[in-house]
Amino acid sequence: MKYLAIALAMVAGSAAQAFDLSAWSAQRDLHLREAERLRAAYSNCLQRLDHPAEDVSVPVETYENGAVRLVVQARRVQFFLDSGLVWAENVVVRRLAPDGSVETRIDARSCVVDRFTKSGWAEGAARVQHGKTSLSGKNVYFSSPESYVRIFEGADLQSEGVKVKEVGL
Amino acid sequence: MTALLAAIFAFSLLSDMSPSPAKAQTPAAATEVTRIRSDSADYDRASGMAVFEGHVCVEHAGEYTMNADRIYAVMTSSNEVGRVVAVGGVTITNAARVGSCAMATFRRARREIEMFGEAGGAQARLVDGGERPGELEGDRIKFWLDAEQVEVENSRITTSEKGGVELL
Repeated sequence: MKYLAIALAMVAGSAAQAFDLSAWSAQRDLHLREAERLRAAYSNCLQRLDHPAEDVSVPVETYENGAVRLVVQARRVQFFLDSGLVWAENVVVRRLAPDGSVETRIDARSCVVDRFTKSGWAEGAARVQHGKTSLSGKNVYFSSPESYVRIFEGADLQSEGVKVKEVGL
Repeated sequence: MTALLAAIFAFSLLSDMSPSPAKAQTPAAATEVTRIRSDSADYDRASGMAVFEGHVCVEHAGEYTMNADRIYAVMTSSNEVGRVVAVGGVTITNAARVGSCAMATFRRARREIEMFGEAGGAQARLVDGGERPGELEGDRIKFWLDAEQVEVENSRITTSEKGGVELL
């Protein structure tokens, strides 16, 4: 552990970027607890499903000229107003270039998002394709404010090109 | 995963329609394929850390393969991999060279791999089965993906008649 901490602290030769492994591990524990909460919330949503909306397509973001930039599609969606949760199934998210070509595509079998915490849980398989890079796995927790993602099972990252910058990691 | 974050949170935007954190990315120009597989993975963009845990396997363009129990990838401020730290049961295969150790680091900019033995335990070990076969063990072994030279501390070296590894 001592040597690992030293190795991680030697980040890119910059003291300003020194990494605190203990602090990071403590923060990760908090995320894991939040993931447990959302996984339970997902199960709860499944039990409470009541005529979810079908074949939903929502343009979320547009370019200045009105062209769609980000669109979310789902086979079924239900909003739970009391808890602030959104449940969705067979989800496809596309981020489009100005010419309409797909820059990024995300597929998730099913997920739940907490609109208050802006965090969520994707149950089962999920996959992201961005250019020549793909990232897939099962059971994914994510937090937007914390910019944090955890893949709980079968993480698989494939990329053409060396830079993780291009991977989008 | 920036893209993943940006897009997957579209669901949360369904309610508040706040701006997406998505930002443009440049297309990949290189054709080398890198694949990382593991039982689980974390990505913390705020701290620039990606962690792969459990049966981690990194394959890079058929050039090298790294296996470990856990791998930390530390990103620079420009979101590129600055350093990789592999921990636990580390094996590295680079062409005819096979290394094993308790911990290894990879500095991408220098294409430099450094292997560390266990404190008070097994040393790092590097076996070169190439044209100049040899075998060495040491507390610390450093080599470069593009070079023939190897640096080693507290070494025990076995070489063939052809010459074996070069100690600096």
